[in-house]
Amino acid sequence: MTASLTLWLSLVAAAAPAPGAPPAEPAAAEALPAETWVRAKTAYDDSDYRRAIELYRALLEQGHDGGHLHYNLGNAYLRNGELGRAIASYLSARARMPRDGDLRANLEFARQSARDAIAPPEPPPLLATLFFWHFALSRAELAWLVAILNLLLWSGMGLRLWRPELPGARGALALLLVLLLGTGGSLAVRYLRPARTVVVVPQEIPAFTAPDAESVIRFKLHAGSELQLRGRRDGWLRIALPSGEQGWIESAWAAVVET
Amino acid sequence: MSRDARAVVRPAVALVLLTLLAAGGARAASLEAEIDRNEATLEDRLVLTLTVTGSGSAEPTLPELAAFEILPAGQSKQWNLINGRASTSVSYRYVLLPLETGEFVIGPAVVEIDGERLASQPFSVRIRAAGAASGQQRDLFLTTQLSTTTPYVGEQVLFTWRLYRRARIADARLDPFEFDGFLVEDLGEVREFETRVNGRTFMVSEIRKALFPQERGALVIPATRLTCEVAQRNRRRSNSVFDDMFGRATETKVLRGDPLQVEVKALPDSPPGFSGLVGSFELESRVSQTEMQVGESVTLTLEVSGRGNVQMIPEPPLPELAAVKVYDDKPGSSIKRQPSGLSGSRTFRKALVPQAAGRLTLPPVRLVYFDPAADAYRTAATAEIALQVLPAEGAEELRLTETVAPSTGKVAVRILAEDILPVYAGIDGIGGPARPTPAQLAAMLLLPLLLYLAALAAARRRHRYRQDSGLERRRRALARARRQLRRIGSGGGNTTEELSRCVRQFVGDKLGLEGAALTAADARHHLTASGLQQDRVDEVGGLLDRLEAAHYGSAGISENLPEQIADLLRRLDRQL
Repeated sequence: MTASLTLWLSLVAAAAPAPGAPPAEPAAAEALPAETWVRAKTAYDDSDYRRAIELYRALLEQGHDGGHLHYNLGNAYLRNGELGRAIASYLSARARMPRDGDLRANLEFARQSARDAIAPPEPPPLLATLFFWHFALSRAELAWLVAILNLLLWSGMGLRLWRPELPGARGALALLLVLLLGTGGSLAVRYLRPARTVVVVPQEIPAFTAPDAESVIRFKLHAGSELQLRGRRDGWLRIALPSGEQGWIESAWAAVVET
Repeated sequence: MSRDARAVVRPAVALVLLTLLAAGGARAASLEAEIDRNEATLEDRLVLTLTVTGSGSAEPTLPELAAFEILPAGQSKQWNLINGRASTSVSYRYVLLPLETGEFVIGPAVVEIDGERLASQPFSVRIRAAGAASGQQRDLFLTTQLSTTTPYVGEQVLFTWRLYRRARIADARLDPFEFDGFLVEDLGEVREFETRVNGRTFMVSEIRKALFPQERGALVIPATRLTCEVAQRNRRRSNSVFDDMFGRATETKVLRGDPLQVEVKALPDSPPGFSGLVGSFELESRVSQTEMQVGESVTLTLEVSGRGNVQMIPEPPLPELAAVKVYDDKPGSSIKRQPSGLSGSRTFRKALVPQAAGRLTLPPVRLVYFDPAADAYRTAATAEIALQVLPAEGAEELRLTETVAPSTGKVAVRILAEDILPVYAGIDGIGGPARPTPAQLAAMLLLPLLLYLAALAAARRRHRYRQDSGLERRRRALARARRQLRRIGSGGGNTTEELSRCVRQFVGDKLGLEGAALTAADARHHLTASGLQQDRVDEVGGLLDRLEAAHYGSAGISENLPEQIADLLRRLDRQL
């Protein structure tokens, strides 16, 4: 067991970005964000994917959080052969720009390379149809929509105080209230109970029956597998397969993405 | 029996029973040890029963039994009433699995009951090698075997486990194999076949696995235990339904293979470009066509096949090709799990799109692997491939798709290569749309609500003013009077007349009267009628009198009179 763990840990280390040669250019932290962005794109075009990853990550660490930044990072990971991290970056990008066609195509392409035949955690079709706005809008879009609907609702209510007989006002206000409740509820769910997906990063990892490396190995997972997160405990993640089977994996072996 | 007689007999019987039970409970405690046999082989299992008789129920402590593996097999409790004496006994059963041969003394088991320390009688057990019990050849045994005990790191080692049997067995339970330090690959299902050993025919069950050591040094594969029920020959029929599973008596046997020692050797210093593969491998390449136009796609296929750690086959590095665009396709793999070991192949496909006309040579692709049979690194290489690139027809520079079935009007489009879409280049991609913080969002949600509440309050006030026309006048009387007093204080005009008008206006506003027309007497009258305290009425009347006197006569007024009036009006505002 210990030897097997050593092997898996070495795989984890292999999957993590290794420190590259010191760059000749100024450090990413010192450069302007736009400069780092352009330099990362140039590195990507020159097939220096490790350098591109380094620069895109530096932008993320500086607090930039655009959907295209995650998307580009996903591309660089995928070109560098890091399937799990690529899928995790694409999922992060999808949370920020859920209707982007390029992103959808690349995520689909990356998923084809995953070894495990595990369907990614997606909402049931009926739920996705009924609450389409919840899945079709990013959190930022949802927040702005709620703010605008809220402003319209209370403005309309205020207008009725002075013009109570305004034609169609009652129906319009009722519709605004329904829309506000729907989008507001969706936003509350996004903030309070965000869906989290676990993406396996190393080539192969074991899933144990308990959060203990000495416990029985229930099944094995491979890079790029996407699973539901059911809980966390002391550096361990409790994950579930679509069939309902559950297991524990070390959190260092996976990327947790808020989707 | 009369009712009186029954009343006497029942307590008497109960008393006798209680006495008997008390006598039984008081009986001296004891500990007895019993074993089902004193002679056994390494394949047998012995059942040790420890019986504690007495009032206590503490489990006995077993003696030191280093030569046996001990498995608890449950306990049973009995209560007996014999010849008027009651006794309770608890029997603890243990299964002993012999680990070595020899004569062993099973020492006393001990238990402490009510402060008394009891010990069982020691006895001896003789354990012999399997098959030596009656001088017969063995009908049931197992073997474990490795293809090599000195492999290199990453080399394929075949592990073979076999169960030979001539007797009928049932309920076989095999403990899981432990291969710490190895990557393990199954080599198919359990195989069943017949073989002859020393002229005797055996049925053999065989399990094979491919092991790949992951670290250098000494590794041990522990012995695996198989427990099964074996039908007994030439034995008196048992009357027990449970013993007679096959129509004859059965016996539980525990078989163990030998632990296997493996000394893993490190690989020699690797040459540049070592792929990590250990075994024997071949590399082949082929192209879909040798003649194409500029911009036309040709598929290069690289196939690595062989025997060894084939699941780790990496992509062979393709040499740099000038004026050729290369697109990767998804690799395919085929792994065969045969009793002879793990073998297979991995195929890598690339779409090559020449960018210039002329002769194009694809240099050899090389793969370096370690061959343990030769104790040396070897290089597999493909042959050089020559391509003829013709100038493109028309202006199209690059065609990623081509059509099939050109004879009909519409044609299907065949996708020649899959690839990811490019990165986003716009600078705006860094940050994305602004996302409001929770505090900003809360402000955006609350502010319209607060504004609405303010508007609601204003609307309600307006409504009340409409319902009661004097209300607004009453409520605003003090503010109006204060404004007038400030204006008077800033100078100009006939001060006493202005002050008088201000006070009368205030009283008029509060009482719903025309203030300018009020005299001091009118003011007294209306204020008294409104229920104001008399001294306050007098204060107002006196003030108006003084102002009138000052206005028409020579009487002066104090400089701080406006402040006094403001104070009086504030008090009046509260009381009116």
